[in-house]
Amino acid sequence: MSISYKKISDGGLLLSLLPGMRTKLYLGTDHLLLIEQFILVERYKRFYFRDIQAITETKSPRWIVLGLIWGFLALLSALLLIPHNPVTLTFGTLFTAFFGLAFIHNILSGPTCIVRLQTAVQTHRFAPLERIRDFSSGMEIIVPLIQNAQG
Amino acid sequence: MVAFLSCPHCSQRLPVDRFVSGQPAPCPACNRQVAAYVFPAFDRDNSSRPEIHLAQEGEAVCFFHSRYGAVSPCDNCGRFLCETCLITVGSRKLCADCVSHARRQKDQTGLVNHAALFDNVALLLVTLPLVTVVFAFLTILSAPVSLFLALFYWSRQWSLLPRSRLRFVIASFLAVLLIAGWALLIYYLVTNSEQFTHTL
Repeated sequence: MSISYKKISDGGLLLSLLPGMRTKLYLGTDHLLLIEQFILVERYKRFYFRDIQAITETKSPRWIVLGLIWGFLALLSALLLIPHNPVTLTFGTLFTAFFGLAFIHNILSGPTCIVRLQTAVQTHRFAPLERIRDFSSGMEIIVPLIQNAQG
Repeated sequence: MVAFLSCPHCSQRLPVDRFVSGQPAPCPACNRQVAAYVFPAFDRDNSSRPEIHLAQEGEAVCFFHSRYGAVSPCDNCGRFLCETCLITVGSRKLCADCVSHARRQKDQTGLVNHAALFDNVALLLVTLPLVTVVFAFLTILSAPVSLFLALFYWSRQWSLLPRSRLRFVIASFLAVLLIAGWALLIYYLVTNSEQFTHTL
């Protein structure tokens, strides 16, 4: 069961910590392979270059919402550092570090978008490319291959 | 059937002529800027069916349809196939029987559509009972199973793409610790059974 695939996007660092939330995108010889992980099983969806009709993208405010959530949780955890209690200090440090890192990671990853891939019979959302930076770099690789396959 | 483009946000139809590949244009319904890459397959007429021609005298016919002319042999079994019976799997051309057989055997990479994540299973078997605390006693069974899974699938490729063995390493380590812990506890209980019965 071995075949050569090249990774395009792995769905982000934070999502890799949550089993069941991860989607990854790989490039095959004549198709894109979307891997959707659901806790103990991963499903493979193949989109052949010859069948892809269009890829659409629009900006989404999700990264601002995520930034607000992570920022709020980091501040909330930082409140645990105020009382000079070893237990609250330990938990406060751990949670502030975790939510703070998530906040910074979200900011560094950049703006989010909604990406859909359209074929003659389906329109599928492409979660691994839903950061503008990932989408741009992914398109640089994918678009020429699709155009070549379709003449 | 004419294809149409839809907005990724509101799913409304978009006028295709407004979109030059990659250049954003506003969606008429939600007014969001949408970038669309449109490929030649978009203009392809998908309603057209494969052309099936009736076999002329002396011409090879399809194994399944004796009236239709064959266009290609099956790459696996060699049966002659018409346009209708020909199934393309990756770079191979197969008949329905061989596709069905390959799906059962899972020997065609192009037909694998799911895989169980045995590394996650092994890890969950040792961590989940411990996390729940109440069900920690279940590790007497789950730890050996986890260790077996880690050893059995260590060198086998069970998913389409190779995965890191880190989860197997953590699962094996925890499983060995738990098995050793249970062994010590059972040994202690057995060697001190007389003392226990005496106490009771």
